[in-house]
Amino acid sequence: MSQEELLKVEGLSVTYYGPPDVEAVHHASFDIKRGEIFGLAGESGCGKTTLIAALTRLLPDNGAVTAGSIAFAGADWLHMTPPEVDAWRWQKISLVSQSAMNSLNPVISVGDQIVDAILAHRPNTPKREAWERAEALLRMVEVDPKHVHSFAHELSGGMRQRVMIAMALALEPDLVVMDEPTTALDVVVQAQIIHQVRSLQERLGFSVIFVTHDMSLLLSIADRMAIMYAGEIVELGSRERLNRHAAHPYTRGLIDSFPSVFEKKSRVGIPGAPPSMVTPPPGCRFHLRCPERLSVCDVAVPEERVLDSGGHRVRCHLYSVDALRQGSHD
Amino acid sequence: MLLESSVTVQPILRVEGLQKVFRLKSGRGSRQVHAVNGVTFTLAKGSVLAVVGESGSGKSTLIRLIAHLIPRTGGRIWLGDEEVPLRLGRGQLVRYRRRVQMIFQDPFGALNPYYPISYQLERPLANLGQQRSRLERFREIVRVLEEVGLAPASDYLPKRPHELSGGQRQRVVIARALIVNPQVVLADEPTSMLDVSIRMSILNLLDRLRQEHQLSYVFVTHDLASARYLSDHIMVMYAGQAVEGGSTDAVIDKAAHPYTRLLISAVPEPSREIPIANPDVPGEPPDLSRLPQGCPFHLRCPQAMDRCRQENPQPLSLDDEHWVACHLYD
Repeated sequence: MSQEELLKVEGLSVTYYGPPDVEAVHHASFDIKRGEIFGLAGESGCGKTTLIAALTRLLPDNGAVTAGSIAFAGADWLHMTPPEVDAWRWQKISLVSQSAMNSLNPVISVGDQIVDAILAHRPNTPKREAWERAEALLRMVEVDPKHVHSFAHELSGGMRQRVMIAMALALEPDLVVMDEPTTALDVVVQAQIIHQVRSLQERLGFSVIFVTHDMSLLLSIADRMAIMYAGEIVELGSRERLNRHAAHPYTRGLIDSFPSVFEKKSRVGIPGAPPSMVTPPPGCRFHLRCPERLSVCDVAVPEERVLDSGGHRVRCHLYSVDALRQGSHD
Repeated sequence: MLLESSVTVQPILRVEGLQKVFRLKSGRGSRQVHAVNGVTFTLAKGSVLAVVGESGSGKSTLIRLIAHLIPRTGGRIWLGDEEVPLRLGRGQLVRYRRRVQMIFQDPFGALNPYYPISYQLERPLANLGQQRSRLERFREIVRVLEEVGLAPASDYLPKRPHELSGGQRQRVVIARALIVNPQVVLADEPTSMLDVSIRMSILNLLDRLRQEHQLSYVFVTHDLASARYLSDHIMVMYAGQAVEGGSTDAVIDKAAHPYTRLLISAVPEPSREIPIANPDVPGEPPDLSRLPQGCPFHLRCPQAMDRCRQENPQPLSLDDEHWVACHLYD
């Protein structure tokens, strides 16, 4: 795997204008390397969907990036004009969304939809070639190519999601954004699809942003991952690192929220519920639910700290020496 | 038979050969959907039976039959020593619902949005309970709310469902089921619609209530890990049939049926520290209106034999605590 950077997000903030105005993503920074699976985890309302809407330039009209930058394949992605962005869709960046049923057009065939995307971006492609490409894409995701003539309702949930993945790969993009692509599927189908994404990715070399609330899944498949809470990235690191040395109490709580099949061990999850994003709590946004809270956490926003040379970083007062001293004097 | 030998304590619920056929009418005549096909199990007093399977396996239909929400096509049900007739009169139904209650999957849909929590909890008492005076009812409501962790009750009584978080709503749904002091609680995926960080608190609550009130649960889930966490017995369903069952440890640690093994291999498990395995079994569960002859799993089974294509296997005892319906063990 090459370590070349494909996408670099710096200090990104996104606000939805209300009333009330809600800052759904606050100062998020991360990068995605070529050929890696980058995981983005968090609960509903943590801002992960907003973050990828910003990354795919698909924010709704009342949402806007208020700070930060996104460098994508060497370009200033946020300042590209809409026609430039359109030209890059499918070819450089594509999206697989959670609900394949709602993403496929119910009244035209699967093949028509794939061919439509190909011809929209590469109008000089002969029609016959585009259809052959559609069949080849289905074969690639192990769907019988005869289904180019099928409609969405004739396919099972797993097959529909495979078709979505085939479409996303139709024009060989550099980055495929997958928003909860397996959440609506059964575990066996999920495993089949994950395996498929992995092997296609090794063959074709694209990068994946994999968004999910399922920490067990992410810890099984992502190369690196970021954990979001209340609009902020609270921890970022490699799979190995987070598996063994998760640093933020929220990350640890999230891992502890998933029982294991192989051992029966008492688990507590995380008490309380995520905060309102209209008025996020002062200090550390997690302090109200944190089992390791220090007095400083109520008032001071934690700085981000780097924990190792591999880029493992965390936003938590527990890892600042000053805070430890203050906490112990309470 | 084996299914009785596995129960050493007094059974509270017994189900034999339970069957449900839905008739679907379409333009070209009618089709029969075999949703539940001859399911037999015994639930011991104070224990938890997890019914595990993928969507379409018939697990939700199974507990809806037991809850008497839909009529069964065939089979028998005993509650305690009494056989439950196919049709219940009004008085019989009231007595049955006092003893058997259900917790629904979706806490957003299970509560009436129009009424305050006090009203939602008062209805089952008015319809099923024996408390006479309003004061007695009110005391019960306060007691059960505080028992499910919504204390002080006065904070929650006047609220409407939309004013509560998902976790709090699910606690109200649990309180509503428990307020009539049932013996058997049927829980249909009680945590799958909740935010991940609060799922454990609901599982732990169910576990505590079971211990304190000697409750017995039938816990329907697609998630083997939560089945492992909460249950003492597991029954695995595939295409409307029970394919394996027994003590939770036996079914997971010594899984016998190829389908159970497939399910276990597909569960994401960070402690394996390897990316998810290819579940080497193609396809998806069969259409319940066109079930194959023989074992319902034979089309996907890596170990299918000639016999599996002709004959549907009967349950076989592996030991006191474990049975399987598979020709490999015959």
